[in-house]
Amino acid sequence: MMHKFTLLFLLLFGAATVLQAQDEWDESGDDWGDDDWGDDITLPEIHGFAELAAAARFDAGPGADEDILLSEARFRLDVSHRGSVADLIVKADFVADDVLGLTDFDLRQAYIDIRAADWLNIRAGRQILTWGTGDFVFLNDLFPKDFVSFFAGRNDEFLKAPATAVKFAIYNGVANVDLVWLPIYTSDRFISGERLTFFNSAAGAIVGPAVLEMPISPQYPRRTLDKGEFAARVYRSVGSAEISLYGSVGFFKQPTAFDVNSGMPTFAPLNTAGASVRLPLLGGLANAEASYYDSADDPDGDNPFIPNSQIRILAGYEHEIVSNLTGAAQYYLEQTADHEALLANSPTPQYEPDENRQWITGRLTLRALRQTLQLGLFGIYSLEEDYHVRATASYQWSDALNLSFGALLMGGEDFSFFGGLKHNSNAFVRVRYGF
Amino acid sequence: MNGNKQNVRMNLLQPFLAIAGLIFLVNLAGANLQAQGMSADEIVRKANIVAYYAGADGRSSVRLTIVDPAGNKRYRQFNIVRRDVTDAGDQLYLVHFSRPADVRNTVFLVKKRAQGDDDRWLYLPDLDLVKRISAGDKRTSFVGSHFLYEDVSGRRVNDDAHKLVETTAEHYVIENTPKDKSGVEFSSWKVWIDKKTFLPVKMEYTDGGGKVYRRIEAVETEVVQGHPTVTKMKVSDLANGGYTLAELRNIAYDIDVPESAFAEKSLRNPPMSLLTGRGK
Repeated sequence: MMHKFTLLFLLLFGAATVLQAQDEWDESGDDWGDDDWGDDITLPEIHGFAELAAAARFDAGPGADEDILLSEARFRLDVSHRGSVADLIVKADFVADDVLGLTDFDLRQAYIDIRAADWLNIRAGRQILTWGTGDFVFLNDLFPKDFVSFFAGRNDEFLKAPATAVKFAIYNGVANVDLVWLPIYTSDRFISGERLTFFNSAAGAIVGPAVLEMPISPQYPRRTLDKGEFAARVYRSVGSAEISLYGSVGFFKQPTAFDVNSGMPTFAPLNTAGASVRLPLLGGLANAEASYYDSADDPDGDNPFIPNSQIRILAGYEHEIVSNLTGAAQYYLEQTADHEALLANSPTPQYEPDENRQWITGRLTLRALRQTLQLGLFGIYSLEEDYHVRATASYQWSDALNLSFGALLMGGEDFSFFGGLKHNSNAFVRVRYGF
Repeated sequence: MNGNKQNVRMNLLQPFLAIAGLIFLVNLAGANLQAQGMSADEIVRKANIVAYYAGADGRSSVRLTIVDPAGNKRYRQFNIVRRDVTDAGDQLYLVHFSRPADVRNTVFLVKKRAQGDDDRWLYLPDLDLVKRISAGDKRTSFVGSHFLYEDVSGRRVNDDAHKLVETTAEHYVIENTPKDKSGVEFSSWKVWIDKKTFLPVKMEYTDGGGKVYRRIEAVETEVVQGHPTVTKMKVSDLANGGYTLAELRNIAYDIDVPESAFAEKSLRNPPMSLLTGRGK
């Protein structure tokens, strides 16, 4: 009797289990909405996102007549096609910018990636380029950055600006080689006073859109092939360590030079050479990088209108502190060569950086709620007593919907690097719907 | 691929058979085991090879449906190729994500080591950046699912002490107790290993209070090229609710995955024909 009862129970339970299981799996099948798992795609894939972003200054201060420094709607269209020998990728942003009062088309990527041979890949067109081991600190990466986006509260991805380039990636057993040719010089998207306020050493004060008649408009290298840039990286693994050598020929990415003839800021020629290593160490990850910046037109450092040569050194370490919480720290040194000659010849020696500019950076990243919530804290403290803090929270509401908010703080003496940006300290919020 | 489908969902006839043959089988199994002379360690070792080292290499397409306690669903889809450096030892994994849109074309490369920390890299396509990831806790969520990294790559056999606690008609039931309790959230876990195929078909994790709070079940298995393979899996969070369903398709073994498929080149240019099993 007892056994029969148990049997009946088992039968019912078993059937219920099967039914319930079927429900789950059927539902999952329905929700995916296809049966071939999408691997057979021969048509172009279309994706993208729509995003609203806003940021407001805590304290507008001099130079800014607006508290709002970011208020924009962005729509990205991402079309890609994988072919048998080549891929075509286009990522284009359409932006309605309420702060500058304009609509903008920002072609982020538009390239063909050709698998020319087993050992050779060629990527030609507009693309995002980056290399090096630093975390928000760049030594051998001379590709264009967008510091306006970085300090205005846009997504971190916008720190990298696109460039039109041809990249040859050569793979072989000895060492891989990346050769990049940027036929037309592309500068950083630097802080010009159009949106952000900054310290202007000529004015000796913080300036911005409210006081500048027009944003800083430097003289660019001619848009001809002879002013193009080259960059190369040679890299390989030795055991668990990754070793890279870098070199580049081109120009400074910021208008830090002054053209005496035109009276305009400009970009001085710059050649660099460097190396980096990254390896697992004591359960974490260690990296070191160095670079020499050769300011070709100011070899002795006595021309006050051209930046001096520099040595840049970085050491970093990252380690998981506890489950889902990662900590990282970096030490960065920027040593200006011929510093005495710089001070002796500078019209504004009081605003020149120290011979040794040193940064300590720290980062904490916490992932929670099954990685749907990410909290980040990143700080740079300069031994010249200026600082930058980025506190961010990002919540993935669903696969499609992301909500991010946070605060960016800059502070220090007006003439210091981050101090000059202090009146741009802001709180930001972004909502993104991806498809 | 001629998959010989073998549903491990509770067959409605099985309770009859099980009860009818229970006394016999328990005795037989015990005798059989002694005859084979397999210790708990040997069973676990064999199961580890069956579950994680089938063939010299392999590939699969995987879909995850992640369901939170409120019933909200998230999805992940990826292709994965594996190559064994040594059997039951080091392995290479390459994972290429195709869904959702915001992680599409992200590539994950793992050099799993039997001794010492794994090496892990992530390729972020939007930045064209190869990011190295520090070793980290393996008992954290795999891509936001209820699976943990360790479920995917396999827990080291030597990290636990194994005890055969029960032999049923179909399964060896092994209780595993971690040798080092720090860094694991369970106090012990039980695994049901199919006696015929040595495939682990159920795992239950017990907390300090002796309560089962997490379960992984093989919902469906197939024999692929002679290798018993789980094709549907469910992991349940019994403490908070919520679960993840994993569905594997397009499985193949011994497809001659070259070691070069796990070089840096594959992060930027993943070998799609290997990953999807479809010629380019």
